Amino acid sequence: MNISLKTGLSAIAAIILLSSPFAFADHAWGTYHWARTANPFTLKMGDNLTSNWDPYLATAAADWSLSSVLDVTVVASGKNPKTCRPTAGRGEVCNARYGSTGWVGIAQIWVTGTHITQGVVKMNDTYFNTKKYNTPAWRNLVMCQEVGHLFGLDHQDENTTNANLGTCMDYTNDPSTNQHPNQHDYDMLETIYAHLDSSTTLSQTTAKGKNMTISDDPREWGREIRRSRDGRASLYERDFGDGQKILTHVFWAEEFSADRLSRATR
Amino acid sequence: MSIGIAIILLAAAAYFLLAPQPVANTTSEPEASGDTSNDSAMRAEENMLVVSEQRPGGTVTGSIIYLASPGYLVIHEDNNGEPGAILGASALVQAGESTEVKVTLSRASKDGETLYAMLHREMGANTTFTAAEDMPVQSSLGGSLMGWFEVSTDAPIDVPISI
Repeated sequence: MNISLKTGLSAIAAIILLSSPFAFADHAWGTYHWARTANPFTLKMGDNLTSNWDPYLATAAADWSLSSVLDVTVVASGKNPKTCRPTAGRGEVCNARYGSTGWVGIAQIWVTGTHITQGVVKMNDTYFNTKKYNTPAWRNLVMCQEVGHLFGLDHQDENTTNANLGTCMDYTNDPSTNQHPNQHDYDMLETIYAHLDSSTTLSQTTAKGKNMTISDDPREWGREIRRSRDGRASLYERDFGDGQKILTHVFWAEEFSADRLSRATR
Repeated sequence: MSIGIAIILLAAAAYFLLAPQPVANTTSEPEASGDTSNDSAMRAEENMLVVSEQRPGGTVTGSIIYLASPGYLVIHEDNNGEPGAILGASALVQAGESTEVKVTLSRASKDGETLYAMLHREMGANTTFTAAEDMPVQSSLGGSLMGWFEVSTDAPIDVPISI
């Protein structure tokens, strides 16, 4: 191969790798997405879980809210977890002993065209009550993955025996290092939600009985539950009780930081 | 070197012409009539079944079936919280992933009842379900691999596509 050809092929590879939005993230679930008219959008998750599952849903909500295009709010719900019927415009998350069905977690979305209209996540306690799966690592991974499906994400990898990719959207036999979304997932979400729609399929209602609005005053955001390594992104949680929480995702301007803010608001 | 430059230009042109373009403006996408649903499941076993809540009627549809070897989706009545008499079986399902597996029941399912879905392995090589020889697939948890589902007139319409 002469030098010119080598140069050309190298340049092609560089162009494709550097330019393509799908070069590093290509695990969308079809073309499914929530219709919305602006980013970031908030997707409510109805909590139909027993209390032992609540921390895992909270973690998943916090993890996915680090995305620049969406936020997740956990709201109280009252579904029968056995049937776990959907609610228009939001997700419902349930756990029950669904039987020795062969699956530990399942996500289901209803779509009109390419627009997701509602979604359901089921965690199968028939397996999570066994020694193998009754661990924080397995519960965290599966909750994170199934909730991730409701945004329109598919798996990054479905081989359970290869090396972990460091994302909950990766099948594995060892959940220890697949606990949270990784940058590829956030990149994929940005690609999926790069456009805007003329209407929304998201629920617009607020939770009953609670004034769950908060302002841009950081003192109303609650406690900081996550911060990016560079300190530029933070996630705050305000707990209204009864499982109702508001998560506030903050990208700090360069002159501001979570550290400076926490000192300033003390 | 000129060949290299030409290839670069061609590749760049092809990319910008063929690659999906980012959309900055508000768009309205065509929507199909009616809702469909889609399932994605994290498997714990080599075999797996997903049968969601069903509406009353003469058939049951399995959303997703994974079989290590050919077999059948079989629907059982409830017998005091356990699978009872067989109400129907699917046609032979090949190994691997199958979606929208239909089972015709010997009687219509009723609003409010619970039924059981079970996988049976094809044993006689006759490609027709035979209860006496096509034994239930076993779960790693012990016993048959199976799940229950409820029948309700309020069940959401369920038209699975797969993962």
